[in-house]
Amino acid sequence: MDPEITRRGMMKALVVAAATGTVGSAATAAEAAQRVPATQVYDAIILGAGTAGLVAAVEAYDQGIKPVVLEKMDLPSGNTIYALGSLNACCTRMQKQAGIADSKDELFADMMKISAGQADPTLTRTYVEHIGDDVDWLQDTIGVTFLKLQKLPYPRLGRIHRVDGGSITGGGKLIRLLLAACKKRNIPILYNTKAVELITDKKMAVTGVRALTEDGLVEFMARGGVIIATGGFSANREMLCSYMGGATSRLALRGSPYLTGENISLTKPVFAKLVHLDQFHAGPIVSATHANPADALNSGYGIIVDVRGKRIIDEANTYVAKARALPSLTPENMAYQLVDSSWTAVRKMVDKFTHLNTRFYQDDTVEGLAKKAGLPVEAVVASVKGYNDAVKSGRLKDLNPPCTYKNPFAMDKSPFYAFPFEGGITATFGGPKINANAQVVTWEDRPIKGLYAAGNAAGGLFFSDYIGGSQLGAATVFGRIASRHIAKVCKKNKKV
Amino acid sequence: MKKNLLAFLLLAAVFVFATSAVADSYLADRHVQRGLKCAQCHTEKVPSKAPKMDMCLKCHGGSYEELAKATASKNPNPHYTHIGDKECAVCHKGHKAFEFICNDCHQFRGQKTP
Ligand SMILES: Cc1cc2nc3c(=O)[nH]c(=O)nc-3n(C[C@H](O)[C@H](O)[C@H](O)COP(=O)(O)OP(=O)(O)OC[C@H]3O[C@@H](n4cnc5c(N)ncnc54)[C@H](O)[C@@H]3O)c2cc1C
Ligand code: HEC
Ligand code: HEC
Ligand code: HEC
Ligand code: HEC
Repeated sequence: MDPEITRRGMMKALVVAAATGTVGSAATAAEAAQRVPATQVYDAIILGAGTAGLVAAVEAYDQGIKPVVLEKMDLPSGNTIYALGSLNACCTRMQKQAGIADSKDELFADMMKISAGQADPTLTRTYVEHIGDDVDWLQDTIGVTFLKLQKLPYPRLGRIHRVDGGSITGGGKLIRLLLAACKKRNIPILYNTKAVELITDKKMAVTGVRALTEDGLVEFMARGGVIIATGGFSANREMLCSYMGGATSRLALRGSPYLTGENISLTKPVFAKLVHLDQFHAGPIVSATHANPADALNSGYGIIVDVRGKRIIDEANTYVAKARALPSLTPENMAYQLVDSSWTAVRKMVDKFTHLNTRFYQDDTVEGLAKKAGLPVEAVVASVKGYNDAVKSGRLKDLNPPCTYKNPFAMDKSPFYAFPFEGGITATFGGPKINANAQVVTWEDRPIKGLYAAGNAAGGLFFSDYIGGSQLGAATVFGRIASRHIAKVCKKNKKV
Repeated sequence: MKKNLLAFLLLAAVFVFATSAVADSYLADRHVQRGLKCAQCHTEKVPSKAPKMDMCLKCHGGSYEELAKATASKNPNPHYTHIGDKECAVCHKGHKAFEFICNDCHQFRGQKTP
């Protein structure tokens, strides 16, 4: 007799016995079966407990349907918990109360402009139509408090609604509040449960998801739909390398180490249209301490040199562009922002670096600064002198590389400072393309029945760059939209 | 004067090192020394895995919020953070040295390392 067949047969018998509960002696199998029901059924199955996933869960519940959230880690572990917590919005109650003049059309035009005209206009329009109400909803339903609106440079203007995080990041606070809202509603969040495969029916509609739990694979079946809210692939070097090339894959990681591209690996088998795969957001970072010197890079003061002491890039670029280019400009992916005390906010940066025990250098002379930083002194002195001379003669554009500061300041006020930084990846923009209902579409632009995506998992809305705060904004807008659509589907199904 | 201070600091460092290096100084040992039984942390018949936070919280404040109040003056407060309410044992190892997981990404200093 084939021993394998016997073992399998026996296992089957045990499972059947356990399921029917007829054989008392099969206690261990019965226990196991209780812990791992072969299948579970919900209205909405939400993958990932980030902003998009948790917002979707609350909205689903409030629409009267039954959601479950599957999270692969032991706690929410995506980019949200690292985020500053800004939301880009217009026409909110807060804007109106502050008397800030803004409009949906202006926000639409600015978002399209910042995305180089390549963002999907329908999704951008959907964003601007909903974000005002959604920020109000975060206040009213989730209990978020925002800091006072400020007047900021274009394109952020009076649009940045920043979550008041208290002593923690705004994003960390947002997650705490969303978890509390889920708890209040008794919404199940299953941790250590990783979605590994979509389940489809004969017509390739998505009917559920297979997930790996601590007790093995479990099938979660959806009456309404599955929402992919698993974030992007910023921590998956293989995907970064294949979609964007080697330089990008060498960027340091600014956020979560667990965003590994399940938005793509889950949806590719159902022929989702994958878009904007080469697009991402970058920022400067000191990876040893996660201090963020973006304010220094955006200050409009000083120059950037590499470890050889040479200028490497037009400092007038945004911090995003400068961080993005760094690994292709220097093999070390490492540079120093040099500033003098003409930049009055330099103390703030010093305090931040000090608070986070992050290395920076300060000296009364440029020579001394270079020496302390371990940079080649002659080269640094020459770079600063070259820059200062060009400021005086008005020939910054003739430098190599050119510098296009509109309002340049010579570096002549001591003390001088050097802030080291690396280029870091914040988040990827690519993923399965969604429509205005947050439904994932096929390459033929047809919605895939039962499949939704929101937040950084979804593709189409982001390209090139975004107005700060649009990512958490999009997670909120499309998380809610997905659940409202699923609720509609569930109600329709019930009537039939 | 300076020399004396240095000598004193060195001595103090040696002393601290010596006391913390004795073999029975891990968290579980310190609890046992205070009269706790293994079973007050371990629910399993034969201890085999890290106790869940509910076990620790039974004696330490009752909830993460209360525990966070006890360490509210610390900067950063290790019990109220942006990475959420982690299992106690990821930092407070039972039979190994304390591990401040925040410093996987940061370099905070000055924490007592219980
Ligand atoms: C340092 C930093 C600062 C930022 N600041 C801002 C800001 O101020 N404003 C702004 O708008 N944006 C900001 N962002 C971007 C923003 O954080 C993200 O765009 C946003 O959090 C994305 O939310 P999400 O819900 O899509 O995904 P995430 O918050 O990334 O959540 C995804 C979740 O899915 C889980 N998951 C992944 N795969 C699976 C799977 N297979 N099964 C189950 N679960 C899975 C993950 O563990 C994670 O918990 C910042 C990002 C960084 C790194
Ligand atoms: C049955 C009660 C009890 C349980 C359960 C318990 N503790 Fe304690 N713990 C104590 C007592 C008593 C002290 C000493 C209190 C004091 O000195 O104020 C202590 C002290 C501590 C201290 C500070 C002193 C030191 O030695 O480091 C830490 C940290 C600590 N416990 C962590 C934990 C963790 C983590 C768990 C769960 C794995 C846990 N405790 C479970 C009772 C308990
Ligand atoms: C992120 C790491 C981390 C986690 C997780 C963590 N702690 Fe701590 N804990 C610390 C640090 C660091 C200190 C010491 C703070 C100091 O004195 O600087 C500490 C101190 C303590 C103390 C002594 C408090 C005092 O008054 O001096 C107790 C008790 C304690 N922790 C219990 C717990 C329990 C119970 C949990 C889980 C519910 C937990 N900790 C989770 C890092 C952590
Ligand atoms: C303060 C709570 C606490 C007490 C008391 C405690 N343990 Fe543990 N124990 C832990 C934690 C936490 C772990 C997880 C591994 C680690 O952190 O070292 C653990 C793990 C273990 C393990 C698994 C092996 C390993 O190291 O992972 C064994 C065996 C064990 N304990 C035995 C005991 C025995 C025997 C006693 C009583 C003498 C005891 N423990 C008392 C907290 C405790
Ligand atoms: C996986 C990496 C990672 C881990 C682990 C981590 N952090 Fe962070 N932390 C970050 C990032 C990223 C930021 C945001 C930095 C930025 O502004 O870009 C941050 C920001 C912070 C800040 C705000 C810094 C500021 O700007 O003043 C504090 C405080 C902080 N973390 C504390 C903690 C504590 C406490 C823990 C452990 C419980 C911890 N972090 C664990 C990555 C991490």
